[in-house]
Amino acid sequence: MRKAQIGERGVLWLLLAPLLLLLVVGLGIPTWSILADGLSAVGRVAVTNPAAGPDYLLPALARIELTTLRIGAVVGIAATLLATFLTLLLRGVSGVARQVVLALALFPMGVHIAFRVFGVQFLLAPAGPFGEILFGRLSSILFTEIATVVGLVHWTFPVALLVLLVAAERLPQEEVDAAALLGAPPRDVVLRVVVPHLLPAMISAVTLTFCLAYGSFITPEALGGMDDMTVSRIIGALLREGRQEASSLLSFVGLLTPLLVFAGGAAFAYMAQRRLRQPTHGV
Amino acid sequence: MRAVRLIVALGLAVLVSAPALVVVPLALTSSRFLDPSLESASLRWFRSIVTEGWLGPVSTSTMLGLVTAALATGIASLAVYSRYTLRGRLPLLWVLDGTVLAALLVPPMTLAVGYFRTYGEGRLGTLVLGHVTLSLAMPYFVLLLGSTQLNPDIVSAARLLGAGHGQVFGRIWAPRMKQSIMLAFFFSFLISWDETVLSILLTDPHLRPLPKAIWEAMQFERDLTPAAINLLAAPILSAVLLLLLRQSLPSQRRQPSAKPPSC
Repeated sequence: MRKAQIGERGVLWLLLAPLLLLLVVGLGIPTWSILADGLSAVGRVAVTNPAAGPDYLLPALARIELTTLRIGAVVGIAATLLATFLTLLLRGVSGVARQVVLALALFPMGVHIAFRVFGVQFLLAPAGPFGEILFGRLSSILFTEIATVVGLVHWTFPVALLVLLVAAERLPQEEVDAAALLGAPPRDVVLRVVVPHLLPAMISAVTLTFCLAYGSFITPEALGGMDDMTVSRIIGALLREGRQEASSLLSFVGLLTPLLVFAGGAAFAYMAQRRLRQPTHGV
Repeated sequence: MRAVRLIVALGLAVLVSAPALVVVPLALTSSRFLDPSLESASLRWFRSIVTEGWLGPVSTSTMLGLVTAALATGIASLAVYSRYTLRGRLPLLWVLDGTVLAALLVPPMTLAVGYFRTYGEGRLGTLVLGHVTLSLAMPYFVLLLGSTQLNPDIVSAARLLGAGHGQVFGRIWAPRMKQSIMLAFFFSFLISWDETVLSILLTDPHLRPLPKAIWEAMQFERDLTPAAINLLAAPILSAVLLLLLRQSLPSQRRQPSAKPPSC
């Protein structure tokens, strides 16, 4: 019997083999080569003069990392809040109307990133529809951090919306109905019943969109300027110049940051989920 | 009130999607330049999909997407079935989930650097490997989420009656997970279809997927055929996604009552 159980488990672990092989070959080996290269580049910095070249200046790297973190955080929060707002608006809307709104909201997923980026450029240009109305007094916001944030919010919004839609499907409708039946005004039903249940999904959406925005290359490259360089843009520039070691060092940083942030976000989402499941005491 | 909410929702959806909607006038303009003012309309860019050699990149990306989706969904299905059957608080499974998630979180540029150094460029196999790796997380977690809705007693009963894992997977698990498998397949295809960074950095002039061809065309602003391709593809992809979401998500809950009943 024991042999049969071991054989049974062996078969199941064998079914995991293709996945493990893909993770090793597709993710592990390339990542290890970046890690090894990055660590050796750090070692060379420690031995040689750190001011030997601009790409080894730690303050510049720190500034780029902070800029990327800031852009990622703003994009994550903005995309998630917009997606949450749309999800709440669509509660109670069904049929063709709901499908039309969702089709519009998800339409960008089928459009190539190059056109989406051009669309942002067109809309935010000084003579463009939004540029003139919103930023008429200011100089063009194209090729600034604001344009990058707008472009990334546009890109990550469908992803955040999908996460929130799935969470909204799992809302305990009994609790929502009970609150309404007990006389709670709609605003309180949303703020005190619906939003707390959506909170773990909101944290997950913020974390996911942050990671996507952090690692994005095309949008920041097309919409950003010299003052808001991101990690991916610098990696791309170093690759174009043939500086593979420096690109590996930065790729190492670009790899660690989203993983650490996601681990933190997952922990927060888990704590929010646990708090939701705890019974409230007292009347 | 519901009408107001619908109008606001519609406005928000249009606002957030506005940059992508610019592809509509671009596909219909007769101008050669990136000018969506639509002074004169034309269908020339739709005709040039066939006449200007764009069918090659379209078919390359379509085949690449189908192969990527098939591999990613197949590997994820086996893994999720195994994980579903092994269910229990095994820390190793959580490590596995985290590692799969890392594939989604790794910046494509970082992965491109690693692939460039490890496997070189210009090989279709490298591109397929990269696409499958990048798109693996979506089918894995879609299937994982779908498997939580399965009744484990059915699988247990089949095993107790002597069914092997192949029979359970093929005759019980996969048919019940059909909607999730289709959604997972579609997400993988979509990720591969739109993946640009690896397509630009890991290919040579002989290997030209659609994202690379679009990127090159946009650089020179002389060919707006990609706009026509996107205008044809985007509604189809959105419609398929909506259809699959409707079939996959539980929508049996009744709508909230507008007023509490008076006693």
